[in-house]
Amino acid sequence: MAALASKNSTMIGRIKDPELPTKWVAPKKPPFREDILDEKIVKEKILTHKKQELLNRYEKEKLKNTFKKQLCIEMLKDGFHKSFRELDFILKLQIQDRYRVGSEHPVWERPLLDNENDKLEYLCKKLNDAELSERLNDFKKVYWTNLDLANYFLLRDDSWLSMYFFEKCLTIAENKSNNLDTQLLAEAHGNLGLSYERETDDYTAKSDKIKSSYLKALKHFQDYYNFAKGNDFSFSINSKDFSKADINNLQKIRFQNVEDNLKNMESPSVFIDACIHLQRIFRIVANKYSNDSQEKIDYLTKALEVCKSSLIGSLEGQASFLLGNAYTESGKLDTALACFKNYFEISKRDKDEENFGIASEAIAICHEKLGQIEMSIEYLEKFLTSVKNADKQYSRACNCLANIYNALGKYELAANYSKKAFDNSRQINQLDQIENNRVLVGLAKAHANLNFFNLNVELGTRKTINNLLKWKYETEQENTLKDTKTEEEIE
Amino acid sequence: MSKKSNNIVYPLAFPKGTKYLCELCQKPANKICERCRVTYYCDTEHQQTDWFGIHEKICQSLIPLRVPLPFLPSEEERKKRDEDLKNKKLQLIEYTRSIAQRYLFEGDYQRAIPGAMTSLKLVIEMFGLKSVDLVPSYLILGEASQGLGNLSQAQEYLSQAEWTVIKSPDCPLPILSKLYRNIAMLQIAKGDFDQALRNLANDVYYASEEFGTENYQVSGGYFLIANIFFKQGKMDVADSLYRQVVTMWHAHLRQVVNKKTEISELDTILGKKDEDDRDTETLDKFKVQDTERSNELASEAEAKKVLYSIYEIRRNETTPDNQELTKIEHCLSMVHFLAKEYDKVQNYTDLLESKKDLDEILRSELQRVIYFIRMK
Repeated sequence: MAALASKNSTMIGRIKDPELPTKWVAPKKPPFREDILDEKIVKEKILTHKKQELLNRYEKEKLKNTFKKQLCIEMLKDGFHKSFRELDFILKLQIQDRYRVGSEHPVWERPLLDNENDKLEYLCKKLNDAELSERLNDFKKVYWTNLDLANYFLLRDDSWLSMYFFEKCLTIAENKSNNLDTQLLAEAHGNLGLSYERETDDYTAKSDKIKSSYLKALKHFQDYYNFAKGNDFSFSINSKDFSKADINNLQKIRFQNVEDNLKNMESPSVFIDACIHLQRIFRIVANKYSNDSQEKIDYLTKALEVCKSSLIGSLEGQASFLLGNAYTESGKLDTALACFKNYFEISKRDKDEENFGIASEAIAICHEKLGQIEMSIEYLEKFLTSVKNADKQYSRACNCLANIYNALGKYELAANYSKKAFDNSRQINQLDQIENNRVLVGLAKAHANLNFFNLNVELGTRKTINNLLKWKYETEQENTLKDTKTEEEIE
Repeated sequence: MSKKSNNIVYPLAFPKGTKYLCELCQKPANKICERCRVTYYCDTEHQQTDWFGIHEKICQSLIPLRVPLPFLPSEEERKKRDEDLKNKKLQLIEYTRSIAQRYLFEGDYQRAIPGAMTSLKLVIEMFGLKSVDLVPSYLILGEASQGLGNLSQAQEYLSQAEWTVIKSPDCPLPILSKLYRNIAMLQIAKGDFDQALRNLANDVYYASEEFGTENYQVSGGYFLIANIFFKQGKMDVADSLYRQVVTMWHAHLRQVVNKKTEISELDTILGKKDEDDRDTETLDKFKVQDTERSNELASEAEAKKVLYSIYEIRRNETTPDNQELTKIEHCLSMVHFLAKEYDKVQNYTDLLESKKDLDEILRSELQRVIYFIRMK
């Protein structure tokens, strides 16, 4: 019964096997003679070759010409003769520039612009745009096109060419008959200043070309500052050629040499940007190229004025600090003190703990040099009270106080403070500070024990010699040396 | 009058085997040039054409080239004579070419043809049919035919030139640029502007590579491109190109004029004679100076043609650009000065001085030019 049932089920309702093909396809016959196959292939090749169109005369020329020549001819054909001349000039400029940096610079290993096709193409396209806008007297567009070119080459690390275009932007902006905004003029100066600063990387450290580059950069930054002053400009990106990543990179390149605390500043306004760069250049020139301390002070004073006008507390504070240092170097301690006080006030106002600490220290040192030790102790105690416990400023404060007391001879107090500093730094687990403070503690304690050591040696009694020996073996016991009186004396 | 009857020759009277053919059409010759007695013509008409075209200037110098050479005893003497002949032929080629070129620029197409033919024949004699040196002569012939309206003939000459260039591996760049320029001129005459533009682009590229991008010799190409854009109505492109042409010529002319007026001051102090009052010391030196002079004349004729046409266009503009007009007028006065047409110079300098806002340097240069003229 079961068998019949199963048979029935196989006959009725036959389920199609999905793997079997629904249509029967004849299998391919392999050619039984290989030379016929070869002939067939050759015939097919000839047919397809005949079907190909003959190349136009000008397409042939395109294939024969170099890429650069083809681009030039395209430009000239459309009447863009200025672009052609400029391209020619740029290619010659590249070779000149390579000689400028000397024949051993790594730039010689990079290919010449003639051979870099995408750059050439972009360059020609933009030059054509610029020429077209120039013919229509649309100078703003010319400016933006040149700016795009400069940024493009900056991103691709061709700083010689980006400097050429930044200079062009400046001439366009300066030309009064073009009626461009002051903002563009200011930005042009700023960009050119940055280019000159970048140029200093090309030279070896001993060359005096660095100085001239820095001075040129200085002049441009000053113009940048003057034009940006009093106006509320902000950077705007008009170009469609750059992705967001590119724009970020450009901003990074712009802020390459700026101090770390300012690097993360989100899209500063034009004026702030000018202040940042100008004061930076003043500082560099002051440190490297001032002939005497008076000149250095001059530069740093100018930097301070700039920072004041920028209304950024940290900038002003830093500038005051450096100026104060310069004054102390040249010996004018009173003015130095004034500067440090300024720094102190600002960091107090901005509740900037670290700078507050540095300021207090500086003031204390100043007072010490002037001989007003009580004032310095006062300041340091003020500092201590206003500083929280579990902070590295605390250990710094303690260290400063310890230094002062060491100098005064009050070794016990010094040792006390040093120990506090050491404990603090152990608490917050800062390794370098721990080592530092450990040494300082040791120093302070050693100084403290010095007197007693001398006394022990002088007296030379059995008790004292015992003390000394005991002390040598067990230096942790602090009071061994102090106990100089013998049993006999006590009695 | 006696000369005319003396110049008949009889073909049957020639020695056996020698056949003298007409200079221009290669038919059997009936006339002979009296002065040199080596040049033959089929009739008076051809003789006159040739005389006005080129023969007036090279009559005497053809003699050593066509006379049968006497036997010289030693090998060195023969070599030396061959060298001399070769040099003379080269100089003659240069000279005839520059004469023909000058007539071309002046617009005198018929007159240019004999000179070009002579130079072509000489080059074929010297270098053969496949040399690149043939190309400039072909170009002149092509331009002359185009000027006379015979476009198919011009096309033939130019194709020949192009074929020669393609076949030779290293063609000097100025010849290449001239070739493209002439091809473009023919295409303009035919109305094929796109291809003409492409060829002119090639011309400017090669000329710039050879002479530098600011040289006046590139300006010919720019001028033609500007003309095309002008015809197509694209005024802004044409305007910027014309400006460029004028700038290039201006710079070049100023340089030449300044050199000339400077030298003259020194010369008057030293008491030297002027260049033009030279005496013909030797035949060769004469030729070299003449070639230079005719090259100068050719470039002067080109400058005149280009500058006058730009001047006309500028004057007919709706809003004339005074600065540009002043520049062109200054250029024209300099060209006339170099061509020694002093009355026209006077016209232009008066025109220029009447303008109020003239540049100081320009004014001083004008003064120098006037002073130089008055010294004559």
